Amino acid sequence: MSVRLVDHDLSSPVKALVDSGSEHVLAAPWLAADAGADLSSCKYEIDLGIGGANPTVKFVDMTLRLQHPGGNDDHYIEWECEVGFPSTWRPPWPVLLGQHGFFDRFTIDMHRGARLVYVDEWDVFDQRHGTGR
Amino acid sequence: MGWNDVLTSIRQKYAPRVSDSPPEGPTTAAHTEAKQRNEALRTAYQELAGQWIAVDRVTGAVRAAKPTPYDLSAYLKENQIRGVDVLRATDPSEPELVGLG
Repeated sequence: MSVRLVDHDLSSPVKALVDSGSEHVLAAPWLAADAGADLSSCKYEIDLGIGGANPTVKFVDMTLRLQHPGGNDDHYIEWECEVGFPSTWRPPWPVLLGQHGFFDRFTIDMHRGARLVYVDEWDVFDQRHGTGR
Repeated sequence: MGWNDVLTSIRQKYAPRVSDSPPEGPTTAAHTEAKQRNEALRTAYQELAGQWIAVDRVTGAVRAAKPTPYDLSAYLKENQIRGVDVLRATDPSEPELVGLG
């Protein structure tokens, strides 16, 4: 998926991995600078286990922008979200979209065969499956 | 139909067809398009391994490449290149990462 981070600046768009196994939305440290986020005044910091390492992760509140896959940068949706910036970063994708900040905001459909991810409104799950009645 | 019946039905329907190709169906066309995009990315990875690349969001074609994400982002902003996504081109010998977050 294509996302941008928005703080004092607008970051370049980056590929994001939709990762239901991640509790958080995480981003590569260079993106903090690219979006003009000040990590010296982070909300809190914790050590996380990521890819066999234990980097310190600083969390800040900022805006996430999801770009439409059609390629037009002017087509997007935005929401406020807590983003963690690990001190080191190895994955090729600069952003991981995890449970808090992504999966708790949208209904997500994934299909391996189609190699597609669909992002819908939060209550679409209820409409389809009748939960929460 | 009980839960075990459902599981048996799913196994019978899909288990013999587990492979890189999905079952025929409405997703086949999307799968083919995605596969073509992935092929374009795979070629770029081989040629630009280790570099940070900006790929076209629709076609997957590489529009720019730089040694660092800082250089690439500055280049994209300076030249107002739109409709791309930034990622790192992995080296084919690089181990696959699991347990990312």
